[in-house]
This record gives sequence, C-alpha cells and structure tokens, in this order.
Amino acid sequence: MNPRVVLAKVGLDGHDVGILLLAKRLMESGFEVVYLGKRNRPVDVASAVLQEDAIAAGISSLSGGAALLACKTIEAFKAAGIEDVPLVVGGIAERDEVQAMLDAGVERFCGPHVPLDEVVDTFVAIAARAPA
Amino acid sequence: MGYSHFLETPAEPLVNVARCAVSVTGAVLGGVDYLCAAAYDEALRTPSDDASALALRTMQVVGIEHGVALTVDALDGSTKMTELDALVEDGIREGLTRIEEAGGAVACIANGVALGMLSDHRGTRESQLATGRRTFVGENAYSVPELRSLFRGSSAPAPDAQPVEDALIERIVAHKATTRGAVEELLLAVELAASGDANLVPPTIDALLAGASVEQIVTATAAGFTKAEKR
Repeated sequence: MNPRVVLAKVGLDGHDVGILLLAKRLMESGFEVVYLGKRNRPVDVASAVLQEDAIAAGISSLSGGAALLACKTIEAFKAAGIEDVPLVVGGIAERDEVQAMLDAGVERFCGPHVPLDEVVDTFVAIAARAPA
Repeated sequence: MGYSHFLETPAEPLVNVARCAVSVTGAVLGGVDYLCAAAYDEALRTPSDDASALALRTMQVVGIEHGVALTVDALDGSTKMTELDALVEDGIREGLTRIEEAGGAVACIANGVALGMLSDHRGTRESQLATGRRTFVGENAYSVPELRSLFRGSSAPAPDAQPVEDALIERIVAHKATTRGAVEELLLAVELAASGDANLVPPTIDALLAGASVEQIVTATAAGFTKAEKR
C-alpha cells in the first residue's frame, strides 16, 4: 500500500500553488495524498490524520500565523492521541517563530528557499521510518 | 483587474521593488483598470507598513509620472504583441477543444479533466528556475551573497499572530454586541428570502448596512437554503 499523507491549508490563507505542487510531486513519488483544501482548523487536520491512517501531515500558511497554527496542530494531534505522525510545515515565518514550532514538535519547516525536491525527500524519509 | 506579482526573492527584498515596477508597467500597458501591487517583502512575511506604502508609491509613479497611462492601448500595432496575442489565442482554442472533446465544461469539472488541465503546467516556473531556463537576478544570475545586506530594506518582523487573532476576535465580539438588536430581524429576512424564491440581494444589503458580519449573512443564508431543501 502506498504511504498516505494528509496535506492541508490552515487558517485563512489561500495561497495553494505550493501545496498543490507538492501534492502532485508526492503522488508522482508513490504517495497517496489526501488534500483537505483551504481554511482548515488544526483539529480538522488531526481528524483527517486519524481517519486516513496517515504516516505524515503537511500544513501550509503564507499569510502570517504559520507557527501559531503549527503549534495548535501539534496540540490537536496530542489531544487526539496522535503521537507518531510527523508534521511538516510550509510557508512563511519569522526566525523566532520557526524555532517555536520546532520546539513544539514540528518535524521540519520548509520556507521559500527550500527546493521542492527537498520537501519531497522529507516525506520520503518519514515514509522510510514509518512502521509497515 | 490585476495583481502585480512577480518572482519575489526573500534574499534581496528591496530588489523586488524594481520587479514590481516592471510588473505594474506591464499591467498598465495591458489596460488594467484595477491593480494591486505586491509588497517587496511578501516572500518574507505579511507586508510591513513601509513595504505596503512603497507598493502604493510604485503604482503612483508608474501611473502618473511618465505618461505610461496616457495612451489607450499604447502597444497597439506592435508585431511582438500581435505574435503574443496569437500565441495566447491558440492556447485558449486548444484548451477549449480539449474540453469540448472531453464532454464539455460541466463534464470536465465532474470527471477531473478540468483539474488535470490546471495541473498540467503547475511547477513550470519552478522547474525553469531550477534548470536555469528562467533568469532570476541575485538568485541564479549575478548572485553576490556578500552584498545581500544592501538590499534588505527596513521591513520588520510581523507581530506575533496570537495577539492579532485575540484582538480580531475581541473586535468582532464587540461589534456583534453593538449591532445585535439592529441586525436580528434583518438576518431573519435574509433567511426567509433564502428559504423561498425571493431576491436575496436587497435583504442582504440591508443586513450588511446595519452591521451584519459576513459570517452572520452566510449562516442566515445557509439556514434558509436548508429549510428550502427540507420542503
């Protein structure tokens, strides 16, 4: 079975070119992608991860608040009992905010300068260590 | 209507001002009647005040100082424009033919063909940049990392998001408290119109003028639609 990942835009940001491009590349790399679309709440992402038995989740926000939403998503994961599903965050965040989300448990933050191949490799590495 | 976006670098933000000016000029020459220009720090953060103001100044300079906007269709007769027009027209006709052959617009939305067409060229610019087919000054051409501090600008970090969110919630709660009495009946009128065949626009305008929020309008409209469905 192909590894399944959940991707979602969170908050009110509508910039979805990057996450759609990532979804396409992940599918080409053998992943099954469940894309939740725009304007999801952290709890929606956690629910989808549980329902879809995903090995990883990726969220994106480019209009401010990426770190806040990432930390809230980690909290939602914990509240839902999700302990072993890494969260990858894409978008735009200040340096302090990036550190805050990494401290909260985010697997990796991928800012504007991270090549798409590297983002895909991040999910490939997560899939490689995920339990069969 | 247009949005003057362009290749935006977070490494040398001020250079984005030049890109913005070129983009705005192109939009004006194309006959745009409404334009929003991207701020120079949009690759870094929600635009700072100085970056937003400079985007406005860029539009004002292009629009007023050099007479670019004084001639209607200034590029009319240009061989290059005629060639580009033909290229775009051919692409549109090709797309419309594909849609027609796949069963029409509604079928293409339902069977994913339309989504596939949108995805066809997704990532083209990114791959062009990666392979060097597209030039990006300061990134894949004339890159001088040691001079990047010259192009930083004075854009400041965005405020912490949580206080911003808290302030917005506080503001909307206070707004709803002050308008509750005025909008309740008007929202019921919206719901009533949505549940039947009446024109939704007049009651919606009345409710908005009285201070109803978009969320309240949507909720009332949805409630009306739900009632109509149950009938």
